Amino acid sequence: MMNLFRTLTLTHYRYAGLMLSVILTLLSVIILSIYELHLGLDFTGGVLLELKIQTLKSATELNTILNSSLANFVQLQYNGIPGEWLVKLPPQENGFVATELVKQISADLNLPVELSKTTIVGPQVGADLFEQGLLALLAASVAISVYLAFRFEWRQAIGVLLSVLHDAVIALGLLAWMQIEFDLNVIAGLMAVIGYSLNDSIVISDRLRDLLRSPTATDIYQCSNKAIKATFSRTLITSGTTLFTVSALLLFGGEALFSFSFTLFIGVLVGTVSSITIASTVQELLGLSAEAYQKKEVINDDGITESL
Amino acid sequence: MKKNESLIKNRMSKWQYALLALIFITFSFYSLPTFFGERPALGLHYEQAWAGNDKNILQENQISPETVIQSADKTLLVFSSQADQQRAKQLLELNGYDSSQLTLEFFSDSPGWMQSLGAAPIRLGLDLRGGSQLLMAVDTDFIVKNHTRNLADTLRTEFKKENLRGTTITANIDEVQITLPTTQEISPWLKIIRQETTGQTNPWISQREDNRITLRLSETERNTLINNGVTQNLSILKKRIHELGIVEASVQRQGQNGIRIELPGVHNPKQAKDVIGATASLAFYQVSHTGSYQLQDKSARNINMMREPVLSGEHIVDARASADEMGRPQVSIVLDKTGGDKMNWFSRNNVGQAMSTVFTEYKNAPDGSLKANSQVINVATIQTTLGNQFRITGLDSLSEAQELSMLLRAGALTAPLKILEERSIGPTLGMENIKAGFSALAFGMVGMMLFMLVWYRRFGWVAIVALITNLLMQVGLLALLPGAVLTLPGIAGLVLTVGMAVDTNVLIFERIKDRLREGGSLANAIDFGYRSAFVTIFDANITTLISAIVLYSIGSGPLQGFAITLILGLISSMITGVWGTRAIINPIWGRSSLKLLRV
Repeated sequence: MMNLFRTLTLTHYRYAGLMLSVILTLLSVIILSIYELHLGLDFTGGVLLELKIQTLKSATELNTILNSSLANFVQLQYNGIPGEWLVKLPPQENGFVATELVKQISADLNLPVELSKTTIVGPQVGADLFEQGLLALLAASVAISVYLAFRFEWRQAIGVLLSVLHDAVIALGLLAWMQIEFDLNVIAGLMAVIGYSLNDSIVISDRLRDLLRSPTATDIYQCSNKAIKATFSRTLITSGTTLFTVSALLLFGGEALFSFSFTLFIGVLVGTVSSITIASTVQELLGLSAEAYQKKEVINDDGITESL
Repeated sequence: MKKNESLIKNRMSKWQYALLALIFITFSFYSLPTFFGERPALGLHYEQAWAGNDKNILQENQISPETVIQSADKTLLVFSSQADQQRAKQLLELNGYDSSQLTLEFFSDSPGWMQSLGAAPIRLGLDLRGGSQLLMAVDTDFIVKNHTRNLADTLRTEFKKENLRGTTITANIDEVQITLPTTQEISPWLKIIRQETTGQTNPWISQREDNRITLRLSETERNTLINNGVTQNLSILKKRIHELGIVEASVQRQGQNGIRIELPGVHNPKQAKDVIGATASLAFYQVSHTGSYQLQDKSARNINMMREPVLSGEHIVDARASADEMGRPQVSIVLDKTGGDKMNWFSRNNVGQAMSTVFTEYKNAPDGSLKANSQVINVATIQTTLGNQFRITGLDSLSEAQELSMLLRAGALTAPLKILEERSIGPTLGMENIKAGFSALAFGMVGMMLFMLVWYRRFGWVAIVALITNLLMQVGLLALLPGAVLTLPGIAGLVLTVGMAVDTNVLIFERIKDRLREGGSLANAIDFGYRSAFVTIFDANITTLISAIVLYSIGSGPLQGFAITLILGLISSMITGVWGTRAIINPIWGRSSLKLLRV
């Protein structure tokens, strides 16, 4: 009796979690359509200069010193770290020479200016890179789907895929909401999220597959709950250690890795939850039962198909 | 009975240990130079280097190398900072040393015997080392247009030869239109056209409409032309970059008509851009008042000359910049046999006449199109018969002479290049990025090791050994893999795979714990844990591997840098986490019949 009560509650938790995940996903889609992704230089094209100017003056003070013709064109921005400044410009026609602009700024401010980073991206390249990034995400999803379709029953495969999709959408929604610059590093982060989230969902699905195959397998709900319980400490440890290392990246990785580590942090967090709320509930909703796997066992015994 | 079974199962054969040891020793050996680090250096490739003037120049400017290494073919000056390395090169160039004889290099601090075994540090990406990256596009229309124009020219000459008149020929980008006279029998024209346009591959597709014939370049021929053009530009760019003295540069094709150039250590990309992007050529013309070709010289005077050049730049085999007796800059030129004969014949018949040197450069115009800019750089009177060696004077400065000689040596680009993207990162920022990445890695590693030790106790230290080996293996693999470069996202990939590598051991250890809880012996639980976790580990890692491989094949730049460490990390964590840990666990606990609950 006690046992039944317990399994019922876990199933309830899972379905409550599923509802929450659905709501969060919808919310992310709405946020994405309202705020839109804040596309970085990689995708929009343009000029970004990172300067080092040792001064105690504020941005407004520096900008007023810059001679009037230059000030219409260039605005210095504080980069969050003392002595580091940013200049952002829209895509230039041709022949933009960063060093000359820096010389001019240095002359106007009467301060030494060191150019630490120059990025000049043409608008066409930006559009190409964006396409390339999306193509990479799409191609990876297709390749993974094919593999899952081979290794798992179709309902389980769909569950795993949906949970991965859910993580990517929520990560994107949060990036849009917080207006974090969407650049190539974020795409790398998203791919890492996909990889991690897959890992997580597969570990649970794998255990469920084992349980369903065993001759004592009965109720799909019980099997799901068992699989989650059996993998729970592993799930916590792995996401804990991964979150720990990713936090190290957030802390020490500096500004250059911020967007990557932030995406990853959110993705790992959401991915851990979704492996339980989505990957292990969707197949139930789709009507997966123990027979689906046990039928195939019979085929195995006949020697028609060997691998599953 | 059951105990015996697991005894056999928990045993790895000698060759497996041998193989494991071999893998471990190899990769950790090749990872070592990376930990020694490297320092910026300048290679001097001329005779009697670091013996006279060059040493004085640097000493006067208070630049002294930390170490000087003399070898048969070069002298290497090792500096403590990239700033010194850059300044030294600049100073020597300003004092007349040829930039192709000064190479920017990096000197590995690892012992010599390691280097002689081919062990080298990981190649660092531009975001970590500092440098410039350029993405350029080859103007493919230009290549095709050139080809079409050539056909139009040939047809015109051939018609003239056969005395066939009354035709108009126009050349568009990829087609030639010929309008034949309506009044005459057109078969002689057709015969010539057929003769000029049919090849083995049937390059031209013709379409006839009464007396109008359109010849269009076939798709395959068009692609071949573009492909050849881009490949040729690629090799010319490689030569030019070599002339600039950048040793570790990479020049790669990207897409159909893109070329990506990475120049480590080059912090001011302007010089590189000028040299790389310039489609420059040199030609010699006969100056004549009746000539219909008019160009301006440096003082904006108009010079009339013959339309056909006496000699064009393709015959130049060598060009060197120097100063003449009066200290004026000049470029000495050496021609090939055909060029020499042509020049010899022309100058013999034209002593006392004037000859002009025309420099043509293609540059991006504000509207994005490419414009040819031709200028007469000198007009000289032919004093005597010229052979295959002569000099060009009339240049403004020594640096102009150097740039011109560099361009001539490396050959003219077959089509103009357009710069699409330019990124450069200063040396200090590169250093900061390395520091940031590695402190994250160190912090993550230490935290994880502590956790594993606390959580798994006896098995924890085995997991730690696996983690360290995993990192060594990844570094070794990266250093060995040709073309693999460590970037900042790559370090992020290292950190991430270290975080995820633990998963392999967690999966196995948790299964072992499960079995022990159910009351199995330790030996039995170990066997069960490894066997049952393997399928899961395999499924989970393979899917991540798939996404990483896709990312590597489609992506570029940071995406590839991240994908490569992820791929290597997955492979090495499979080896160390599954195979490596078992090699340690088997002999220690593999026969234990204890029923320890806490492992």
